Amino acid sequence: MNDVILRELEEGLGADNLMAESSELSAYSVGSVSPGAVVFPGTIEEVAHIVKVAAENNLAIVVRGGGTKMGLGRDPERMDILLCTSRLGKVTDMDTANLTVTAQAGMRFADIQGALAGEENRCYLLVSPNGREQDEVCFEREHGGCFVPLDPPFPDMATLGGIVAANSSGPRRLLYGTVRDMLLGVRFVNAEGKIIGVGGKTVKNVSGYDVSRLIIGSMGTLGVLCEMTLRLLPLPETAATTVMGFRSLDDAFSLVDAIMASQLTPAAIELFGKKTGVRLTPQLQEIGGGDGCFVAVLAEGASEVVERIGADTLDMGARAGSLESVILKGDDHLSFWHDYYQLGRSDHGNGPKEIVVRVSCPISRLKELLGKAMNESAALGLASDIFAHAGSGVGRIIIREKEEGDGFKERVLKWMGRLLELCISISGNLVVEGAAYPWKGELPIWGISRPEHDLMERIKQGMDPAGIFSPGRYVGGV
Amino acid sequence: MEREEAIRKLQESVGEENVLFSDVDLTLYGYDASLEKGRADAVVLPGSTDQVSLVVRLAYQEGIPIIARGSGTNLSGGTVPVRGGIVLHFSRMNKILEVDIPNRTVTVEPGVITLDLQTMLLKQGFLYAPDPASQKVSTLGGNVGENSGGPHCLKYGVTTNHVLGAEVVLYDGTVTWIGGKNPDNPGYDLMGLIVGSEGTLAIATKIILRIIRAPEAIKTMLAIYDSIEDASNTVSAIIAEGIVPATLEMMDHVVMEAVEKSVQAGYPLDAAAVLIIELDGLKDGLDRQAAKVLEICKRHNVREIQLARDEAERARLWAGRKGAFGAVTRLRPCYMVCDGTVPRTKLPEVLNQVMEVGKKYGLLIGNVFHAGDGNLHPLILFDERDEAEKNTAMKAASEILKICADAGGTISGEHGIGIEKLREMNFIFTEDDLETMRKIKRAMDPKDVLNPGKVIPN
Ligand SMILES: Cc1cc2nc3c(=O)[nH]c(=O)nc-3n(C[C@H](O)[C@H](O)[C@H](O)COP(=O)(O)OP(=O)(O)OC[C@H]3O[C@@H](n4cnc5c(N)ncnc54)[C@H](O)[C@@H]3O)c2cc1C
Ligand SMILES: Cc1cc2nc3c(=O)[nH]c(=O)nc-3n(C[C@H](O)[C@H](O)[C@H](O)COP(=O)(O)OP(=O)(O)OC[C@H]3O[C@@H](n4cnc5c(N)ncnc54)[C@H](O)[C@@H]3O)c2cc1C
Repeated sequence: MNDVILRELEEGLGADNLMAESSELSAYSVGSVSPGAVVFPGTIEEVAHIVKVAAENNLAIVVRGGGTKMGLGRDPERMDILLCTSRLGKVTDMDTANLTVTAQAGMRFADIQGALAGEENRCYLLVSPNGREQDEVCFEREHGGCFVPLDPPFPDMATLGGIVAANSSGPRRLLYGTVRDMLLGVRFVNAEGKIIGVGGKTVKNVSGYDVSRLIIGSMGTLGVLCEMTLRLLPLPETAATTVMGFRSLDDAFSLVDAIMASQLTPAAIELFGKKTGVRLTPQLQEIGGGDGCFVAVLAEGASEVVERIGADTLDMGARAGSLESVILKGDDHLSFWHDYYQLGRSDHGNGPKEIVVRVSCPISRLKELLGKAMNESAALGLASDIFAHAGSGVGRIIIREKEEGDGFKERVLKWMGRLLELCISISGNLVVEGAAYPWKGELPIWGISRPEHDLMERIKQGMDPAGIFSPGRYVGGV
Repeated sequence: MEREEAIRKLQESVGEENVLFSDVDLTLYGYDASLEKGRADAVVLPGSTDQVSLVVRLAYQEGIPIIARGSGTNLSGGTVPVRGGIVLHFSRMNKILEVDIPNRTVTVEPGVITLDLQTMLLKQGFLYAPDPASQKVSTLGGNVGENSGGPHCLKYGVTTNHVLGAEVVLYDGTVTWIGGKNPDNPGYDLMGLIVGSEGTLAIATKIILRIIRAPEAIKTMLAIYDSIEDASNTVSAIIAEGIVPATLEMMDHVVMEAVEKSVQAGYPLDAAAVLIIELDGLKDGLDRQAAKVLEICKRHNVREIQLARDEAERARLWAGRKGAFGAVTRLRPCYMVCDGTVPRTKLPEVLNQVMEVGKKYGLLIGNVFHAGDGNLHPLILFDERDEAEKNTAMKAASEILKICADAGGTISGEHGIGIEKLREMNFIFTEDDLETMRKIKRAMDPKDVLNPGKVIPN
């Protein structure tokens, strides 16, 4: 990158917050693309300055939060500047009486939850069971604390900006919804380097267009998210998880269907493969049968409600043919979920390579989708595992590469083609979330093209006409 | 194109009987529930998506404004044809197309009346949660247009939280689907953008809504107070104690008096304010929660609490709330409702300031509102025929919105901007913010055909 531009950037940021030595830059590459410079702004005004410089010089900007999802999407066509949000890490307004919090984009999700729950109420946090003293666990006590009712994976790493930009969600979307149900307002920097504020601090707001919602899931293609206001809920009085093992996917889904047809209000109904299940719940003996799988039902709320959901779930499970069951409380409950939120993470470490595909479909078709996807992978000799938000129609399929086997790529491509057809046939869709292979570009990363794609391009064109934000990364190149 | 020719073309598209253009019709469709007026050039009653598409294409080619209209109950002038044009009235597109229990969705045409859907679903044990007080008349298309709220939105969220997808007609007549039963498509949340856009970005011709199981148990309470302040403090306290009721509605003595004259809901006439508090969910633990609410009310000097013993009593308590807007016209012929919303801890302070504004201008102001959401509805009462009083009322309304904006709130919680609040948009947005919205409007409606002159000030 040329010196004039670097000096301009440096003026607004200070030399410490700008990195342009090529030896340092490679650590920040996205896919196979290295940035021309990496910047670490500490204020919204600094973000605006960077974008203004970029806009004037037609430089492409990619944003990086916690980096947990940088593998998602195509490699950027250009990446002159990588903007890291790590120094935008403050809570700017904690208004628990109104049940809202405003925080900056670079704040780690677990830190926000920690700040909200307060010292007294650490028990709700899904912190490592080892790093916590026993007497801090307080299950049956009344709370004053709050939480953001959102549970994205990798909460210790993922940042607020990244979560909103990627529209990340987790098991508890069943009860609490997704980002769109709790984001009240956003401050972002647009493609001209101007600071734009939309929405606000009230849970109801129809003043002007709902630009906050448009920004959700925009993957850094419409602007740099800097500050977000979210609605909160009071911490639930207590929580417990019922885990049950089943002989088959069919049996497991008959429990899911029974719960869904009832008036129970569980926070989450998760379904996962046998290997995962055995690892997460050592309390259960290994269940027999090759196709076995597990269901975990999370209940949160008043103690009577949690009791009732647990008891009814056990009954329904027995009727659905459960082989084994256990109700996890206290520490066991915490450590189960702590591990659960790390599923699919090995992609970032040195473990075996894997491909993570998120599938989604109308709730009632998930069984068919997961069942067929597993059968197809088995037929092609691919080792797969699943975990799914069974009551929400969202699942993840993980393909593990056992050894650098012959024709792995070809088999994966074939499987992916069939999965895509299957998704089309049941009004579903898929997204390849992780695939650290040089041939990633041959995969249908953003799934099936949507009828409204044309409109998305118009919006992108209107808001970022020069295409400086994450060019080429997102759906259909927007 | 000449007007006659345009009308002939419209008649060809939708049938002669479905195009209205008599003097009376055009005047009638020049109004909605707001105080604004305009005059349409023609009114079309489409019967299908194809017909909507034909009409919009014609309008696009000829540069004629298109104004989508449900029941015209919006309170911000959203359906007033300020620049003339074609009003698309959805009264004929009123079918519930599909109830899909396994997928927890219904698919409806936009002209379906909100309450009709809700009544039908309740028989099967399901809820479509958003319940604007106008639900007996309002349409789902209009609810989508305004992103309507209602008493139960405190717990369940507003319209946008329940819209999964829609078939829409775009500015040039193109028909496309946005969103759908699949919960998670990658891409921008266009559905979220269109909900609440007041018919200015796209016209919904089919809507997929999320439904939920009706709760197992409900407890409805009426808490009676001798001071508004105690009532508003109770609202904050309940939330602070970790309880999120299904509803937390407030009414002051002005409104109660009017309500008692019309529906006799049994509200005490000598009280300063009442709260309607409803808890719902599994029956387990609900009694304990109700006891906790009771205790909080007592701590805030409640005079008396009535608990609805059965569905009939519950209906009676609600009848007063739902009929409140209509009832106040017994006090004065017209009302203007300010829809300002504030962080709920600011309620006592803001309510005081609102009453001060009333005193200052010598206007009677009644309050009936979604207290749990901080969504005020001061009803400024006046007589439209008295031009001076009308102007004073409008000035007072603007001042109240300023008070809400300054308290960290916003100028509309659920009724929309329309034309009535265009001037107040700069209370909360900078010119750059507004320009962002204009960019979106230009991207989705380049020739400004869809409901021009609304939502964003020029
Ligand atoms: C293997 C794997 C499994 C996953 N499983 C799940 C899952 O189960 N459920 C789920 O919902 N998600 C899942 N994810 C996604 C991921 O966990 C979340 O998206 C994560 O929360 C993103 O946060 P981050 O801070 O790490 O973002 P990053 O990875 O740093 O960024 C994510 C994207 O958002 C953009 N971005 C980041 N910050 C900003 C900002 N301030 N302004 C504008 N754009 C920004 C980036 O450019 C990038 O495109 C998975 C990802 C992987 C790789
Ligand atoms: C007594 C009374 C009580 C009320 N109580 C509440 C309340 O509690 N909560 C609340 O939120 N509101 C309330 N309102 C306001 C109003 O009822 C709502 O805004 C309602 O949703 C409007 O529905 P409608 O069918 O009358 O729509 P209309 O007034 O006909 O239209 C509303 C807007 O939606 C657009 N529109 C209509 N159909 C479509 C379509 N198919 N596609 C795209 N855009 C469309 C219109 O162009 C317009 O901008 C109340 C109104 C009254 C008179």
